[in-house]
Amino acid sequence: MVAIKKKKTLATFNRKRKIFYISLIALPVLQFCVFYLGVHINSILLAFKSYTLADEANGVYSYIFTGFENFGEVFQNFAKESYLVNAIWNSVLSFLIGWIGFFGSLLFSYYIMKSWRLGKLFQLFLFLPSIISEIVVVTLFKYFMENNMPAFIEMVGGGVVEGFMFSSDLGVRLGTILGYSVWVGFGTNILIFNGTMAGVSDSVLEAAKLDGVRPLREFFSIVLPMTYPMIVTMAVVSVANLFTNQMYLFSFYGASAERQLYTIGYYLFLNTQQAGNSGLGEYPYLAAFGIVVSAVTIPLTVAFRKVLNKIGKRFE
Amino acid sequence: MNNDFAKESRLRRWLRSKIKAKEKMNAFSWVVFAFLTLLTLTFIIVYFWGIMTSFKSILEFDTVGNIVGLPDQWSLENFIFVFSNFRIKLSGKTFYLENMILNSVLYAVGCAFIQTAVQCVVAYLAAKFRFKFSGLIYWVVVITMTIPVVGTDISTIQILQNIGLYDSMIGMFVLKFNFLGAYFLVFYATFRSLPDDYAGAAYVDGAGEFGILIHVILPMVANMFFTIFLLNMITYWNDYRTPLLYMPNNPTLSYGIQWLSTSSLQEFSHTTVRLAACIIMVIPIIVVFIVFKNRIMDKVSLGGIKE
Repeated sequence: MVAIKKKKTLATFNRKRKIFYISLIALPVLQFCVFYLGVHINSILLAFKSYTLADEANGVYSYIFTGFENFGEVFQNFAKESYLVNAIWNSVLSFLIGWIGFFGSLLFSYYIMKSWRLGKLFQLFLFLPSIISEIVVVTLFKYFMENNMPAFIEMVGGGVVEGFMFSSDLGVRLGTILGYSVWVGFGTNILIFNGTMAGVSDSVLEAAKLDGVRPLREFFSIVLPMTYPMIVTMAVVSVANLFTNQMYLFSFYGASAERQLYTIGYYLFLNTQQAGNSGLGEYPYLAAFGIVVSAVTIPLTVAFRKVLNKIGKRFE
Repeated sequence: MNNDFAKESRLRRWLRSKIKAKEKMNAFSWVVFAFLTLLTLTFIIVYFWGIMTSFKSILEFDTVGNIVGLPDQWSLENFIFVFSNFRIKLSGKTFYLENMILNSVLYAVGCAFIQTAVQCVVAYLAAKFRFKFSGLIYWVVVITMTIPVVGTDISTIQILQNIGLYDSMIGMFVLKFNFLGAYFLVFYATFRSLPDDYAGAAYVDGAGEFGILIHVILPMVANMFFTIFLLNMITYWNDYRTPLLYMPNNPTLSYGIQWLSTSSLQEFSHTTVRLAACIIMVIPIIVVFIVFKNRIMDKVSLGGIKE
């Protein structure tokens, strides 16, 4: 009798837990189904459709399946438009330049972790661009380079130079934007790196110190290997963002950046933003473009993660 | 036993203080120090120049040509101009600064709260309710974070348009009602490490599952919840791209500044005016940052330490 009662109580307990669980998880799961699964499935379907005149008599447009037409258009555009090929190189260049900031962040985080001179102050200034809106930091930098730098160079007797952001020399503009990426890149990951480095066991560092290990060796042989999982995560995220990275172009120039400065991320964002306001006809092409880019990025990211994990096994 | 423990702690503290005392700056740290000093100086110079320029009159900056030096007279005319004239006309509607600030507050606070709450609750369910579905949820989050699918914005726009939520704040709230992202994993790890004893004791005392969540679990993670909420809020306050894509006719302040900084309208083309608008936008975030500096700067870690 007692056993039956206990069993009944357990069954009620489990039922209540299930009801509670389902009632709380149902809406987020529904949201996921619509705005993740649904969006991705719709994106794939869109890529195979075209927005064409379906009913000529009534002038009705609708989406109809047109096979690989959009993909053909994407590849044709890459073959025809030199600025798109250039956009790939700009994306890769921006990605590679990003690594300077990445390694700088690691090194500076170590400096802050060691509580060396003015470490907290440096941390604050490096982190500020992450707290302040990108558009504000970009605007400050843009006018500083456009107005203040030429005026300053002239003032110190360097002659008359034109502004850097709207220079007639495309190389100067690209260099200035990449310089900006490095400048703010040093602080991008600094909080996460700092937080993780703070978790490195004191006893390990103390033991190393007693063994006479010097800071440079400590950084490369103890801190980096011990924080390796976090480094892998952040590095993989940077590879995953290879073709969504806009190189701050929209913040610098809005919709009017020079085509030779385009990155793939900027091209996609610009066209998506314009299509959202006006053209249903552009949706399928952009969906196909996204799939082509994803087809490159996904294997690249997975392979990169595998390589990093293999390297990580050496530390174990 | 306690005595031994106290002795050991004292020993550790002494050892650490000895080691810290020995940890002087060496050649390596001096090189990094020099580089960091230069870098920090560049930040200070750019920020200071921006603030200083926003206090110069248009006449002084554009006509007299005082670009590098301190203002002859610290003037508030740019700020007054922004407060009284800054407006955007979109689809026949005019949005003033106060409309944009209101949109920004709604967008930043609303989206941050919704997303943090959903991630927290779903992480709790996944961590503490050992159903098969919980494992699936965890893996969905991990997989979606590691597979970068590009170019789905257009599909999202189409779905929002089809269900009538495109270009609305409600649509943004619905979009942010999701549990995906790194903060889910932060909550998940925290809930996994919480002992079941507290919830068990509350259950014995007659509390229901909902009561346990509200009165036992959430207070235990309240600090973390608030920190993540703050970080999300700052991100959304600064974000102009998402509103530009999904609610193009309801500008937030960040969206407005982006529009202003690339606008070709003559009245907004002055550098001093644009910089003053930037300063106005930054003030609330700087206040939040100053108030919660330690909470924001000390609580973030990701990926863990290798054992």
